[in-house]
Amino acid sequence: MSPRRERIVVAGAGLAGLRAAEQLRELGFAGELVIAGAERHRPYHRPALSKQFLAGNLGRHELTLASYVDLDADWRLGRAVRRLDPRRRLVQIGRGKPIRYDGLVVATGARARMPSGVPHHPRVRVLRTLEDAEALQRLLLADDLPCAIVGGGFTATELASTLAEMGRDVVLLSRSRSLLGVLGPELGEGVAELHRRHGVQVRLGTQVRHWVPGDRGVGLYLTGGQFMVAGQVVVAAGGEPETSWLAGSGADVRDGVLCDSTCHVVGLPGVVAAGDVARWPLRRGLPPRRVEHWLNAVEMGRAAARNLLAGRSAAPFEPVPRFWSEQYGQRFQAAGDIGPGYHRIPLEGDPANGPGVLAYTDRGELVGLVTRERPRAMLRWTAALPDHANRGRHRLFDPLTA
Amino acid sequence: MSRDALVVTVDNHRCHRYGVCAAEAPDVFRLTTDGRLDYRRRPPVGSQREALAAARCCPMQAIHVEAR
Repeated sequence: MSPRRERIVVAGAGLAGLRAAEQLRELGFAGELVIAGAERHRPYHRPALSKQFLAGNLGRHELTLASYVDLDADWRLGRAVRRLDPRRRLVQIGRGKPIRYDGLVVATGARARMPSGVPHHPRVRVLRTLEDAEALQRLLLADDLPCAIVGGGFTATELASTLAEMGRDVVLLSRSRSLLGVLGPELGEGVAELHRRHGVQVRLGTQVRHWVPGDRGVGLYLTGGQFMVAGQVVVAAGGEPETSWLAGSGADVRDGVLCDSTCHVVGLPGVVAAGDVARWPLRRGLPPRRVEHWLNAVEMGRAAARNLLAGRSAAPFEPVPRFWSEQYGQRFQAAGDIGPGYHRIPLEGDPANGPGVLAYTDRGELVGLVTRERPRAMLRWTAALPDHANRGRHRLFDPLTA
Repeated sequence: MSRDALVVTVDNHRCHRYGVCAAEAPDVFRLTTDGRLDYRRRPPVGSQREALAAARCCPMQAIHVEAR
């Protein structure tokens, strides 16, 4: 009797799952590859939803992500993974009979968070999936009332930018006193100013106190006493890791599935995780956290796949996080550790108001960067960031050019 | 794929010149001082792996890589 073929199941047909599957094949995994996803589509380019897709510049078929190897996969789309039995190595896909796996990649991503108190109503939406974006497109065609966006993060501000450029009236309602708080207040104020200049009403430190959804619009009573009527409300309150299917599996799923430094899920042999759903220590000594950035899903998907096959020679995944955002044609790019808790020093230009580079430092050491309309500077300065994987360190004001 | 010659093309309408490709594959992609993207249509064999990484990481998914 021929030996049973090995089987790896990739739970999640998004970006991280696709890149994990690709890497498995590149590394010569010749067994059966099953890719299961809750959405009905092959992996697609989600960042375009709030921008080129919503604006009508890219159609749904142009969003499909390319794969650079023959995946020879058994795609099970429109069927979410439902249950995991790690002891018997069984996973249930949709309502099917649980199947055995030799290896499992957890890449179920995140869903849009819906804060409590937000009413279920057709005019109150989130923006996470292709269907969400299409539903929003239809709603926008139905009337000319202002669109209210609840949130102050990247999805909220990019969506505001797209809608304002489409000529829509936009009201941005942010509970926080600063937009894009992760960048620090200077850039946050600069971004708020950019939105105001394009006609967006930016209301910071504002919450919806009371919702009055109706057939022709949604009435919103705001903190501070104002009242407004929106044609549609988009709630952009961040992501929530999709871990409900791991309940009872033994995995720690408080804010994402807990992994060790090599992407292996703690407590579950033969299981790795990648992308928005995964919580891991980015470097030795740091508390585990999730990173909801597109490039992280690419890199972690590949690292998790490598480490799934590597067994004992698995290597820590210690990336330099990178992300980008575009608003009104202004390109913002970030690399390394950034946050309002670091010292912030403009290195070039005046990034809060125009092109430039902002450094984030910790005890004099450069730890992170944000550039605005300076992609070449991003390349140059990224080389000066500490490469923790190689334990390199640079002082900010040492000569940086080799 | 890596055994064949790779042909790289960039969709200029999609590309927003973030330069992530130049970080991933500096021997294949380059941002010029006047803000354009320069690239080698046929990357040398030693840079094929990096060219594929650039295509995977492109924020605009503007890079097309084909084995010929």
